[in-house]
Amino acid sequence: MTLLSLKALRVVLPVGGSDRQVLRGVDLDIAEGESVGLVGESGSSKSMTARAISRMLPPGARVDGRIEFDGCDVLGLGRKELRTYRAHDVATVFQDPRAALNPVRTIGDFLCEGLRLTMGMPTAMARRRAVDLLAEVGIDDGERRLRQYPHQLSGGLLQRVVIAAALAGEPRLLLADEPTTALDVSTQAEIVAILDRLRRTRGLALLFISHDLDLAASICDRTAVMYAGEIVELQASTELHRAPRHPYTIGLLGARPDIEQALPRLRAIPGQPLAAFEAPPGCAFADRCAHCVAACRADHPRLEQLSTALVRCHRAEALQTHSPGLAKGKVS
Amino acid sequence: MLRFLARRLTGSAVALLVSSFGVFGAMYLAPGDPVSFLIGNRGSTPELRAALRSQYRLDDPFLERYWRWLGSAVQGQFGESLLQRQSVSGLISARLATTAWLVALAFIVAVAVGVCVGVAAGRWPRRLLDDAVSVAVSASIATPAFVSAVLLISLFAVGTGWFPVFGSGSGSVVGRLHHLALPAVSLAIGWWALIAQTTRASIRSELGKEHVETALARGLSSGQVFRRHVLRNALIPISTSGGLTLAGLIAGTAIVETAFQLDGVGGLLISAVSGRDFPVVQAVVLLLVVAFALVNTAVDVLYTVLDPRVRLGSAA
Amino acid sequence: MTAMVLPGVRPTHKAGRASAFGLAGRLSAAVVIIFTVVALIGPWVAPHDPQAVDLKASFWGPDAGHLLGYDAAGRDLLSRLLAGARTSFLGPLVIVGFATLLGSSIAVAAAWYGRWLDSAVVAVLDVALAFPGLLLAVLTVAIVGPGLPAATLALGVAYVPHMARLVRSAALREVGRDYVDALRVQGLPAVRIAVRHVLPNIWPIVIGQAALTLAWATVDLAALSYLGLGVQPPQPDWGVMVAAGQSGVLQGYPAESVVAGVCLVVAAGAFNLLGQRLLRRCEGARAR
Repeated sequence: MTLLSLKALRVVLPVGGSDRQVLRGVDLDIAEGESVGLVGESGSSKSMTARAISRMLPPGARVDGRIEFDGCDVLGLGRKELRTYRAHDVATVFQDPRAALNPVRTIGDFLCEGLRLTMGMPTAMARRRAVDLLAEVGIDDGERRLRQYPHQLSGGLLQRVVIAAALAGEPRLLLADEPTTALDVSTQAEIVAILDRLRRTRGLALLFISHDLDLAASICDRTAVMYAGEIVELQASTELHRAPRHPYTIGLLGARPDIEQALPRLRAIPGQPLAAFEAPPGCAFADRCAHCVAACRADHPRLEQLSTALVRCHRAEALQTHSPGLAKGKVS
Repeated sequence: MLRFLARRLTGSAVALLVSSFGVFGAMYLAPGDPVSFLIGNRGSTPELRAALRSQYRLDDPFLERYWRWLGSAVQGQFGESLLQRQSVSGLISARLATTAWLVALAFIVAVAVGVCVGVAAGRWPRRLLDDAVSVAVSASIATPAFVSAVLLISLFAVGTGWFPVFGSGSGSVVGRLHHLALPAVSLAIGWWALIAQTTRASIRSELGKEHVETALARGLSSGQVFRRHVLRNALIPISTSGGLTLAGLIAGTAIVETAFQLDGVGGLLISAVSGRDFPVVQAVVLLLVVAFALVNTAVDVLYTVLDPRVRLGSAA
Repeated sequence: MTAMVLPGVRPTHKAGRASAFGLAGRLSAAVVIIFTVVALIGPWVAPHDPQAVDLKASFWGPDAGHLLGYDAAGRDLLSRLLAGARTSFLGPLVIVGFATLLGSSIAVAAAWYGRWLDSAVVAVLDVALAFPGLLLAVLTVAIVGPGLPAATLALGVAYVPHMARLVRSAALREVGRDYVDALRVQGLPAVRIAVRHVLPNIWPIVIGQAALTLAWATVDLAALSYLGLGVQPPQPDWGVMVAAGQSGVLQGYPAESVVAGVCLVVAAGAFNLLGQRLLRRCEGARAR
């Protein structure tokens, strides 16, 4: 059953008097209980995708296309329906938990606020529920934590609190927008493990946004790679690693340091990543691609099925047959 | 929290002591000898000179005089007025109520108007409203209290006769309000603008914070988010400018009480300065300094209530 | 010298400057210039003798030779207004000039030498800032006696702490920069680095703050004169005129108080707006 469906989603933001396109037609389905990774460099508009889903785009943003949640048109929701949708259907975990919590309110206020105001729970009941939620994300001394303020907790603990708060409304989809980027490496693994466990035990669907392909692949069933405001490749995480189709994905995998192999495999993708609004009429990756031909600059490629993958590349088929070494990341 | 408060209280106490020393020592900075200074342009007779010398014990060492003066000041004794044959403390206590009423009314007006206007301009940053507010704020800041006092008297007391021209009213609360309405408004005019400016700026900055987005993303209504997070956090800078306002209002009574010929402490200070009645000047200035110290302390206490980061320190 | 590039006064984009400054900024700059010119040449362009009394003309309205009419003593209001600009408008300039020079020197010295000097300066500033400036001025006048020189000096001293606090924080930021260390290592004398390199980088903030302080000084000096502690009547001055006109207000002739009051409001408003715009421009330049 498809839970969330994005169809030809386009977003234009007004920036200093001119319009900037940040999403250039995103198609993505997430099934009930499925976890999907959304991976790309900064500027690829992956966060904008999440913001569009929860309708948290900056003021003045123009949205085109369709967002369906459980068959319901999200873009057409009224004020009240939108609040219900945000409170009960889609929850968001933000990048920096320190910024996400009001510094002058207690953890208890933060957790109970959602329970009381959007679920109508009485205070005492909300507090008990908050302690349960904290236990669910691995915080045992919940009673004490409820009385504490954000500046008294570590970043890892705060992110657990944010996740607990996200669970408060019993959502069906969790949007995790780079939930580990602001944390140190040792806590990253814990947070990812919690997300993975919650998703399995609660049957939550998860959209996991990251710039780290491996991290996304480790907890996601499928992974989508974004470049310059559009998805360039989408397939099952295991397949993506074994047989990446798009030269950009291949580059990303190649750019990843690998300690198991003695050979110097570290190879950055040449050039700078493009922002969506800078994209040329043809393939956005053309300038940085070693396999670029005339057609790549002339025609904008479409997302097409190639065996198990969806790929947005004119050359994908040719590359697959003619250069078997590609899969190991030998780009140039 | 206690450490923070203790530090601030010690600071206030030191500032008070330094100020009291300044207030006492000031008259010895005047050119000429203290007795001539105290007499000023009044007729100088040998008897008066001798009386002053003994009243001020000018033959004792300076520090000893200061210590004695401070000791009696703490007990509310400031000697006799040179102009009116009356004790200074009596003069002041008879006028304290008027000034307190005036400051309280002006404070209520300044905070109520300032916060409402600032919230409106901060929450709905539409060009027209925002521009109108910033013009009104600039005009108010630029309008001295004595100018607004004269204009208000001309328009609402002489012109329409709605309010009494002078006098502070006594007895009933209604009489007080009726007499002090114009003075309070005139005193508040420059200060509501400061509060409006602070409120608007802090609301703008809070609205841009990520935790506000988080709250919205959790399905809270924008009204709930505004009350529970934006306004709540903006209270911290607003309380700072509230303290400044209170101090400024207290100092401003000197002007407004003179303009409206109110028998308050501020007016007493100005007439004492004009009449070179130095014991009264010393006493009123010291009283004002104590008031400022109290205001500052109150703001510090408010801070610890409003901001847990101050209260608890930042131990992660 | 070395090949190291030293930051000078930050370049500001022409376009950014205009938009941050805006119409209000230019308008207030124009008002300040016009008022300054009037203050300088006012007494000479005044159509009548500002002190010439004509009791028959008491409270007369405007007529051909007297565009604003007469005051209670039958003196020409326009002439008194023009002549009064000198003390009302140039007085604050002297006050702020004094406060700026002294305040910035203290601030730069505190930021430069740091340690105990800085702590001492901060402690003194904290005490001094707890006092409203006007009250300090009233106390000074109580000792020295009323008059323009005393009032000017008193307000000048009263504003030093405000100036010093702002300049100190700007100077601290500047002294912390690498290029200052580089110059120190080269053995340049401290005063030379402070004057040639640090000061040029903080002066836009100093100027902006000075303009804001001018607004307060205009209001406070006029207030002292209004209270009878500054400029002494019959010398024309806007603050004195507001006070003198108050008897007319009660008799239904508010002209004198109103015209003098309006001049004060316009002057203080122009200084305030100008200061705000100048400071905003500095912030804009820093953000870039």
